Amino acid sequence: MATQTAVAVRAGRKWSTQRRREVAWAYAFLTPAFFFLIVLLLFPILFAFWISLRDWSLIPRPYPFVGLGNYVEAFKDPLTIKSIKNTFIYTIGAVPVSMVISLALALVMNLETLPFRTLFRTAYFIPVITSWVAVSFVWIWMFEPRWGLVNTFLAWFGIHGIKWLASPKWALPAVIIVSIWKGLGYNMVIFLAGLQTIPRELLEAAKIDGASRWQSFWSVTLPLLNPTIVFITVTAVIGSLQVFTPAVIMTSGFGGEAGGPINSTRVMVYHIYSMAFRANRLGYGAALAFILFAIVLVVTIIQLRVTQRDIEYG
Amino acid sequence: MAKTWTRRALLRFAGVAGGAAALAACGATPTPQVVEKVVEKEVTKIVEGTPQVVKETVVVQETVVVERTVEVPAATQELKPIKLTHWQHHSDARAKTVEQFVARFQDLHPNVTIDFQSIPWNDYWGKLASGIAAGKGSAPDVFQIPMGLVGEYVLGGNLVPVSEQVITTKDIEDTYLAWTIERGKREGKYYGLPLDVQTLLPFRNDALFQEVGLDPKKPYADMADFYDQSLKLTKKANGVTDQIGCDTSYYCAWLTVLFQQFLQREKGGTPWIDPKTNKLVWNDYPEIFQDFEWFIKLSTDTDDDAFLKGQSRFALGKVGASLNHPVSRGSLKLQAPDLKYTITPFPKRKSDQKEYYTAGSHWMWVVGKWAPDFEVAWQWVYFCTNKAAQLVWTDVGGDLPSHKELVDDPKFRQDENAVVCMDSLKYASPWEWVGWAEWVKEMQDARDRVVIGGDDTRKSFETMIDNLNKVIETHTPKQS
Repeated sequence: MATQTAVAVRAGRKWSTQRRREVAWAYAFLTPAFFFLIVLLLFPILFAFWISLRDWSLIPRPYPFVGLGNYVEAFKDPLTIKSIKNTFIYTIGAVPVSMVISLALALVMNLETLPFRTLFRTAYFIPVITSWVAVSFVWIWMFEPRWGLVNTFLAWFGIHGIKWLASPKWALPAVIIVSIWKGLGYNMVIFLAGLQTIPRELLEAAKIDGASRWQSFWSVTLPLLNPTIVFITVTAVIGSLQVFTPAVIMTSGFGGEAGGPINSTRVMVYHIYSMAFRANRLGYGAALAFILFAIVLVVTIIQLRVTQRDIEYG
Repeated sequence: MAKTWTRRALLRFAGVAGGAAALAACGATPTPQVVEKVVEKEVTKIVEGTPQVVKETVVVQETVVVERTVEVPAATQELKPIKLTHWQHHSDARAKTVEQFVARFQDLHPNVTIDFQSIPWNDYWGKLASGIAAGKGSAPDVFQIPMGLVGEYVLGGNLVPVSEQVITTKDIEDTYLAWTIERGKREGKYYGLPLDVQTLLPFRNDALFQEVGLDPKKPYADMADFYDQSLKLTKKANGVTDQIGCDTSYYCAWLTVLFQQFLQREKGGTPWIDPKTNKLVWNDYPEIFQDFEWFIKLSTDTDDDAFLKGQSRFALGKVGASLNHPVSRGSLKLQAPDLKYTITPFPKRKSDQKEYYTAGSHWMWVVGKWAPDFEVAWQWVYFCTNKAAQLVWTDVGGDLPSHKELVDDPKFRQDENAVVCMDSLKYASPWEWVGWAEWVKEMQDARDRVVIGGDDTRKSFETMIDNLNKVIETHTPKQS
């Protein structure tokens, strides 16, 4: 008995020393990452929250503690409500349409019989790598009501007089159209990758069983693309909730505030930027940023709950 | 062939060297001349001091220092070393100009080092705020801010007043245009020296005016005449616009000049904010609402928001008249070199108004309370804002001068447009605003709600005033 205990203790000591060494090395390797995580991520987040609890101006002066005052003001501020509403309209308008079109494109680009397939794939991807600023300026000219390409094209079908960026009704749809156009290539490439992971045997089996192309797509391709769809949905929704550049550049007036006309394109991130850095209200801007963070978090959790499901083959 | 030293040559050398050493001991150093040459170049600058950020491309003349050495007073050689940091937002031409000033100032003050940083516009405010929040060592000792923010910076306890040893209060008032120092004054002291001055003036397209039988050189009789002329210049039919009479898209500028013209010219300079209530006085005067209505009518009848939206409509020759800053002359020269235009004074409210009016804007150079030596810091600011420096600045950026003596300088009055621009300095008053972006936005929304949204004019006017009063309240520092 005594011998067994001694062996166990010796073994324990030996294991413990090795374990300690491993842990020490693990911490040694993790320390730089932890350092940057804490200094560059955690501390700024906590500090931003601290700022959001104060009447913190970009102009240095005493910053009185206001508690949740900035958050209460945000929910009472019609401009904040309007910018949240615009952000959701943008997201609902841009994400589903973009996904449907890019999936259709991916299905076409996946056809082995399609001539110049690589050329088309490249062409659809070019907008993705083009600067948002350049794209926005080009589309401003295209949406010009009098001489713009879009209205010239619509006129062929008897549609006249849409004022696009000058109209509170059409300005946000114009921004959505540009975002869809620019994002198509990216989503298409992800869908293509997803399509290529689907085992060919399953599609062939469906064909042998007499399934039509539509049945094959609906019952085999689409369910197997679920992980890809979840990925694109979640990332696209998060990206859309944080839209900034097109909504700002396409709606900036003569050096004035973007987001017009009459706040019809004022989105949440621009509202935060404007309050924090153009109106010098850093505390209020920080509170708005945390509200947006909460919105993104809740929407993402809901999305994951709804879209993630097990796939049963059989 | 090796040179051999004779006794005489050696004695001569020793004498010269001894003399030089003696002179050096007395403090005199060699004084080669500063040689400068002027070159033309294109730069993009931001029209500063206004609540709206407007970028203009201008053709400028730049004075380049080719060689520089100046006399160094002996006394300064023994002073303790001082390092000043100076931040300003970036433009190529301005940065090079300040670098030249730095070199000259350091030559004159060998114990002083200026650490000059030219910061991109988008990073300037964030960096300035965090630098000042971090305090001494991180904050710039000298920096520039728009005139409308000086008050908030002073109330925040961030700035020190101009050193009387450098320039006295009386000298400031004798040297600079009164309206360009007004916003820098708090409790009898000045907290900044002005630069980058701009006013607001109507620009007219000569060809379009002549086409409808109007004389582009003849100033407007009054605001009614302005409206009539703009309407005559407008080409709209069946919902299609081919030309607009007046570009009203600089909403904030329009409304400010209109409202202030009334208060300055008809109400003897009544303050725009009632000091007792800390609220705007605009609702107290029916005339101000009338001016707002006039602007709405002008926008509706002679402008079209959808027409060439986002483009330089005046440069494209599709606008009869436009409200602009004098610095816009540079960008027009580049964008539309063949465009002939005339700059006129802003129309008087009524034809019997005695004097013209316009609103002016500028930036101020200020010194932080953490500067290592206030006097030297202000010496540096004065060095960059005095008469000689302003001659260079005006060449570089196309800015109007703030120095009184330069207003009538023939150098800046070489054509009719330049004369109108320089004269506007004499009758301008500061462009009043609070909160910057919020101010711009409220004025923009007030106009758009009526012209685009079809809202009631009175209701929109009152909403604007209510919202602006909230902005004023928000930006009035509270006791912690």
